[in-house]
Amino acid sequence: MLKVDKVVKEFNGFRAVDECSFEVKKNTITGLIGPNGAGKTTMFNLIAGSLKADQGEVYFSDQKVNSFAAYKIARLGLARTFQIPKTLKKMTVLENLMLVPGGQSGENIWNSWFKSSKVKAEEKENESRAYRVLKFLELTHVADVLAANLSGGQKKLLELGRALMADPELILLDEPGAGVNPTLLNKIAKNILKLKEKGKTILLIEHNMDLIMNICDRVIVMNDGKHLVDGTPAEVKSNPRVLEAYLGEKTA
Amino acid sequence: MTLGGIFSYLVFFLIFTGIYAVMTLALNMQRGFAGLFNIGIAGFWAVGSYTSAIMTTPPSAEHLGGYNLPFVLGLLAAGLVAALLAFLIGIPTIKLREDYLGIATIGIAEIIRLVIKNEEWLSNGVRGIAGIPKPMAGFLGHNYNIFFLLIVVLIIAIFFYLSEKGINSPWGRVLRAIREEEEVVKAAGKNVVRYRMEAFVLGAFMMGVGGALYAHFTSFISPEAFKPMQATFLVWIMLIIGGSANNFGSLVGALLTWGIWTGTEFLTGMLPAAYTTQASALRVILIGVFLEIILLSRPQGLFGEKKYSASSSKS
Repeated sequence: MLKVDKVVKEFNGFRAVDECSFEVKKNTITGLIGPNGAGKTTMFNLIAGSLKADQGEVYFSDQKVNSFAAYKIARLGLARTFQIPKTLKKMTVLENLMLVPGGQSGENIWNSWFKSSKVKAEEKENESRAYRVLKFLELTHVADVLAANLSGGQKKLLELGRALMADPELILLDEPGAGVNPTLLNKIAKNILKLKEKGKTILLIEHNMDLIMNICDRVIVMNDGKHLVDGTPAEVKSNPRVLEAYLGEKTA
Repeated sequence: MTLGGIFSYLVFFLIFTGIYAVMTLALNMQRGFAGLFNIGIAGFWAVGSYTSAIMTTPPSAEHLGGYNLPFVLGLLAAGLVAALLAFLIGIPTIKLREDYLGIATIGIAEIIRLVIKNEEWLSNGVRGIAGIPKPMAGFLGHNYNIFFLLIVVLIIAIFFYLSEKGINSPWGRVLRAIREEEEVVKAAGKNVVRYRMEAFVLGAFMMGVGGALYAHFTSFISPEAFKPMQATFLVWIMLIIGGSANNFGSLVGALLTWGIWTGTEFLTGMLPAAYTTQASALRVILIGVFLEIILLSRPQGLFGEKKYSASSSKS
């Protein structure tokens, strides 16, 4: 599904990602963990095409995508959320979601001018889909609120909502649990599992170890831009190298 | 001045306001909706004016053409050539940060003015093109300007309608989203560069048509008419005063600004003849003061940004 092969990314001589390789299998939930500054979000940006790798290759759905523009990779069926929520501030929550679906015929100005009835019908469909996502995230009451006025946690949920609207094959979630209350976090965890049931693949960065241990099939650990270990949650948890990476010193 | 005189001056005034309104609507498409920094309106204006002039004048040894085509075709060609120019400028610059587009457009506007000034075979150089035909001028008598005003109003109505419909559609939603947070739009699989380019080209088309209207109304154009002060910055002031991202505000901004601009002409005209040079500088200062007052008291412009929505159930 997704394969990262010896990817390198440098920022002014600092290697944020250093010959990192791993694979994500179809229809699994894979956790990507590691200490702060391990290069996890940079890796997300490399996979999604927001950044270009200096060396190495990224393969997604059997294609080499490391030279693709971000929007092209998204069209291949990849959706992502951002660690620090990015919202369309002056647009309503509903509009934030309705923006997302691909292939809307009204995105073509000509259709929007001269084929209004078709565009309107699609918009209705799109809107009810957005309302289903809002209902699921318990955000229905803020549908018409400008995204700028949401709380931090709600913005986090809106990020997730956008990923759900895209209906992608692979979803990259960057700390979906940060700043979200425990009840909702449970709900998000259940939803991630539900996505897996639907055949989706999820790659997830998260610092909440309970969430990682409960829902992930595999866990990849990064440290200093490198792939450290991977395995089942239980294997990773008891691996001394992981403890060392997190705690800094040889404490084991 | 007689009542008839006042009336015909009013018509004259409104035609110019209307031409500027076309330009402001065009700039609003580029700047207000797509966040594009075009400070070379004069270039698109000039290209529109000269294209229509060359297309519609009778054959002449003094410049390219003329091709003696009907007014409507001249208008259309003016829009298309200006749009093509925008497309060519956009290829290298539109994906860059906005200041680069600004630098490119202001540079190219100046280059265009110099080309028109120097390439005599094309544009008759500094002597300009005269005798640009007015549509139906033979049939209509001395109330002709009213007819021309109707043409201008019709074109404003078409552009206004299409611009409103566009921005209130899924297309417009993507455009507004790009202005807010480009990364989100990319992550949703939308080609940001394409949308920016479309807004830039559409705006340029409108500017080209506006330029053509100007050429036909004044029936004489020369490089002098396309200096940045009148052709670019006045349009920006209109947009800022009316409120960016608001088509209605653009129209009002054009009316008010052009009113003040021509009004100051009366005022400075009252100064003794010895002060003519100072008088024209004074007009610019007065417009500047007006802009300052608006920026300090209503930074969002008189009307501010309109709330647009693509949703069918609302609006």
